[in-house]
Amino acid sequence: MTHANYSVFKAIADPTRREIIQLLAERPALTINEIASQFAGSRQATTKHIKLLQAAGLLQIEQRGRQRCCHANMAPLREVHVWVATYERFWTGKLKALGDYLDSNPGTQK
Amino acid sequence: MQNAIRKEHLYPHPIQEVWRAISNKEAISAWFITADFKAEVGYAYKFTHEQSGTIITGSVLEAQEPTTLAYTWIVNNDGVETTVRWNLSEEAGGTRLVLEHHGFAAYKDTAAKMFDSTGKGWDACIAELEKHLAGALA
Repeated sequence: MTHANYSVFKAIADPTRREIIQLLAERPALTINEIASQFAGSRQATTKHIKLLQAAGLLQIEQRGRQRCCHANMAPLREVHVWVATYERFWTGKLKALGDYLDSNPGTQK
Repeated sequence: MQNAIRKEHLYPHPIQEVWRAISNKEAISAWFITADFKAEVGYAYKFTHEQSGTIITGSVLEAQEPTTLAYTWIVNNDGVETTVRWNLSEEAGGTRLVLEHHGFAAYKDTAAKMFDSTGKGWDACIAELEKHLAGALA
């Protein structure tokens, strides 16, 4: 697993950040102000969340004139899914290899 | 929700044999991966996957012969630490082995909550992720 995947998990660990992604999934191209107006905290706090999501690759900011519009990007979440699937296959293969090893090395003690 | 990945198998072999296979350096190197390993708490082990040059390092967290072995797992020093845990128990017919690979111990509960309520706007792929993280695998 790469650092990128880890920062995705850190990003989604926070409930406000999950809500931001949820919001953008339903209403793409919201501006930072529009997003901030949906949350009780300060605009600064919301911007911090947005920046963290952006760093994790889950959110993209597009400059449109004087507005900054945000879009959710689900691709990193799929990458984490790929990580999990990769380890699934890895361990399945290794447990089979263990079985083959045990069957071909019977009675081997310490 | 417990684990990122959980696998289980009943091996028709005595528990001491299975324990040796997962904890002894030569045995590990034979079936798993080239290993510098000791089943001692605190031991800094190293696994080398020759074909790809991948290196896995970590330290042994638990080593209770012949039932429990756990160690951290870091790939290519990328700073992300996961945990691998092996549990062995004797059963009629051999040894039950349970392998758990905890990916995101700090965030597993978070990921579960992530998919509650509406789930509107989420991909099917993300539902797959939830399934994995929820340990819904047999």
